[in-house]
Amino acid sequence: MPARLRAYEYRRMESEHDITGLLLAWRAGDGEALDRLFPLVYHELRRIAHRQLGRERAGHTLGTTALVHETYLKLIDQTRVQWADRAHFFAVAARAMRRILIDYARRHRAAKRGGAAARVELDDATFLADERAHTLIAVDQALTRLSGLDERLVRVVECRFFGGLTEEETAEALGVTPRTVRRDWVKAKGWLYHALRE
Amino acid sequence: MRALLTGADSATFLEVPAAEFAAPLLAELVGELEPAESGSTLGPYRILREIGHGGMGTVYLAERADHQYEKRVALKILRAWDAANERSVRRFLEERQILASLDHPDIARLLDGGVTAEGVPWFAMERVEGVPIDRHCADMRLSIEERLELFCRVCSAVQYAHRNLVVHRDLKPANILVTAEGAVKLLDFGIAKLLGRDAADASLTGTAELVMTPLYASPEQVRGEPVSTASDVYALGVLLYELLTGRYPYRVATREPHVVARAILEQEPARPSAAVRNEGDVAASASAATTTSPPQAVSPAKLARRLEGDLDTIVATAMRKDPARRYATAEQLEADVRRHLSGLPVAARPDSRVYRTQKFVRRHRVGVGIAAGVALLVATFAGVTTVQSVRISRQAQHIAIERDHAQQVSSFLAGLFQTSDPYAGPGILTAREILDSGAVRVYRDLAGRPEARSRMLLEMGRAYFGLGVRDRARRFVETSMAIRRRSSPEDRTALAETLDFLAVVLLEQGELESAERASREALDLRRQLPGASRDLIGSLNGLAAVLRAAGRFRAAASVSTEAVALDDDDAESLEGLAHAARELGDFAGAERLYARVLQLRRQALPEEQPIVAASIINLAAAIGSGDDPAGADSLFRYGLALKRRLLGDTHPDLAADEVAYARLLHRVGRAGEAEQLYQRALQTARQRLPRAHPLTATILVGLGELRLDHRASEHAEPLLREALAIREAALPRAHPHIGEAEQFLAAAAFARGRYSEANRYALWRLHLLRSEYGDADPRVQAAFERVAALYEVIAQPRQAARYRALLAGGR
Repeated sequence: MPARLRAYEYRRMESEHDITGLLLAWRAGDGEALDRLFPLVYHELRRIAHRQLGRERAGHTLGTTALVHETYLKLIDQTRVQWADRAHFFAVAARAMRRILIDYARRHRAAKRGGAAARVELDDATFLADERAHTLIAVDQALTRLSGLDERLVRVVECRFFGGLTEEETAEALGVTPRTVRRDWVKAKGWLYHALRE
Repeated sequence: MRALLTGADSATFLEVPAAEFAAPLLAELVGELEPAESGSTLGPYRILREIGHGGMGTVYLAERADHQYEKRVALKILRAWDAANERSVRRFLEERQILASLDHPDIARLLDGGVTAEGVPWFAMERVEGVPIDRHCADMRLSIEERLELFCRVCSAVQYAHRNLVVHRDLKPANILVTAEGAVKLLDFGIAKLLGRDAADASLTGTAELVMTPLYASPEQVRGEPVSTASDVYALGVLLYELLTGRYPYRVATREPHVVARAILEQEPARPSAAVRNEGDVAASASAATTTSPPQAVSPAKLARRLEGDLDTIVATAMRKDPARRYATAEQLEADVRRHLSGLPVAARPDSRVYRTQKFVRRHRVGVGIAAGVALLVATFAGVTTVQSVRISRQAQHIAIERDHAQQVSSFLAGLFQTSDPYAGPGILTAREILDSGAVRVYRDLAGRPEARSRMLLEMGRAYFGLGVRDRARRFVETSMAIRRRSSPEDRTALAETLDFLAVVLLEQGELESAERASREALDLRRQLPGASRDLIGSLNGLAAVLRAAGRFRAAASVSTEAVALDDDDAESLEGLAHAARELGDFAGAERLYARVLQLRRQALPEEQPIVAASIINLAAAIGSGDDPAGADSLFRYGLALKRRLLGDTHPDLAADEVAYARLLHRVGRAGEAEQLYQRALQTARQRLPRAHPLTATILVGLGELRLDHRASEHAEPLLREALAIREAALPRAHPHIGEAEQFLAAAAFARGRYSEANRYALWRLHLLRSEYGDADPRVQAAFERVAALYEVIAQPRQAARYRALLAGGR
């Protein structure tokens, strides 16, 4: 048992270095690094999210900010990065968060379709969950359409809505001014609002 | 309309963080999140795949990872969600404990157990590969004698459990497998119970029983009464009935739980012989047919003759509605079957018809508990739906009748539930149970009736709220709301009603912005509706409460004024206005209004009502804040005593009143008593309220202020800091109460010689007050003076002069 623990620890350390390296490589302009970074962030974020959900008793809520920060602290070797790298990591985490929530929504929908034995929970709010899943998926699809028109607007929505980042953090992550973020955010919301209305 | 869009415009749209927005979804998924992924290891086991999930655990197929044995096991892990719940953990460990205590070849064995790295308990059981007993009998075309033999083995396994003080409580074919070798294996002790445990334990599994499909549940289980070994005997009786006749004993149109539950309580099943003889029955119960087939190779008439007499009597005895009149143990049941098999006379005697009728009537007059009463009510409610929905297309008239009926039942239920609200009268101890049992049924049984379901969910949300089960109340109301918006947005009265209550719930949870949005939407709807000023007043009062909580007292006062203008004898509106007046410093006005409120309430209600007591205390507090603090004392003590008698010693409401009185005691110089009362209130708040509740902050500020005045600033500071932290988290940024904590922190810092810090606090408080009340307000004026004085202390005369100038200009 102790031997196995050590092996696990070792793997973890190794991947930590990897992720920091990938983040730095991506920052330095290596586009492929992002493709390798994303699934690692996704996985860790999801793991921490599960633990948070398991721990949380009443609310079933995920504190996005805490989640993203915890993931950052867990994955990134703080001694090797600069302040600005943190914001870039957050942008990746926000995108991963989008994927995770959409995965949940899809999973919810698939479970409905599969007609998995309709277990009735005492305080079941299936209906509400249906609505929310539906809306999240609609937002996701609208964002995909929007990315063909204005990629930056999509990033802003990811950071603000999915990643729970502040205006300043978003600005830093995307390398624009907070004012631009504010304008983009209003524009993106308006666009999505009308897209979903239809 | 999408959930995100309802009640939102493009400005508020997407402002809720995605994860929070997805909360209802997560709530549902959380139970399904895999605690273990395939390929991971637990102790010596490697997980292969999920093979099912039960009450609170997920079951995986796993194998020993160390290759010590080539053995596959069923590994059950408590769901991560439940692992956070102490009661679930206890329940899970109890199942493990029960399995550990049973060592019988016909019961699936416990092999191993432990906890995961994250502290989630798990255990490994013998992996059983087999088919349910009813299918086995059908597949193998077993004869009556073979079926009886197999049944006897089941009985002895159950008997073994009983002898170890374990009642299975969920015996059904799916839990009784027959292996390829023909061995019987009993599974799933997930809701089993150790006999002789205290009553607290019964509540652990009470809900589980309600949730399960009750096909094999005994009448006492359906009624939610205590179970005993006789409950298992009953289930064995049903099983035997099915094995002998190939048919479920009760005539039920569907397997919906309420239909089955009612049949179990009310029907006397046909004797097995009569059931197989009567060909017509086959069609009648087709939808409820079991997977069993009757014993093969005999004609119905021949089979009927074989069952007549002994077997009819044995089955009837096992299935008697009164547990005391069944076989006392599985062993007795088995013994009778064996006597029959060897041609000996059986011990059971058939019931006389008279006896049966007597028992039946008596039981149904008085024997049905309140919980069952509600269950039946809801069942009736749903039953009406099913039957009548067929006719709806034929006659529109029926719809109206149905509506009336639904309304009746609904308000009846609402009346029942409201008794659990301490403000509506004396409480019923079992209110929570009534509600929980009703919750399951409403959710399921009214699935096709959005209108009725939305209505019921709202009523139950109210009831849960009254019981203090706030998160559940919220979910019920939100669900009600969502259904309402989708299915009947044109019914604006109902929509407004739901929104009004949603605002109350949100307000209680401190989500002030959402509460205000809901409240304003309700108000807009009410304004569009003709007449019904009563409802409009209600919405206005709701909005005023939200605004007060947000610290926007002037806005609250104007909303309350509108309500009072509509009816100047409405106690609630007057009270709202009084609260606002008090907060705005108009103590005389508040006192006058509170006095009128008390007068109105005393006219309408007996003195022994929490709301009357609350009015008395409000009046006392207003008098105490004004010119005559000592004069309020006796009124305060009377009100508090009354409330304590009605709500008990540790109700959070009482803590709020104790603080008001403590503040008075402080003012009149009775510091010792005040300190004691604050401590008491604080203790209640810490025990009964969520951690960062505004009331806790209020108590802390009061106590902090008291200590500050008595030169114990070092004991005041930690309290005030905690209060400030709570308020910053729980109240909107500009709430004047935040400034209050700052004021005292400033004083504490000053008392300890940290002048710059004191000045920072004072400046911040000034900023908050000024933006809310304007420069002319006496509180702002006082703050100017304090800040100026502090600048003088830290030798910045220029700054001091600036503020003094404002002071002069303001007056």
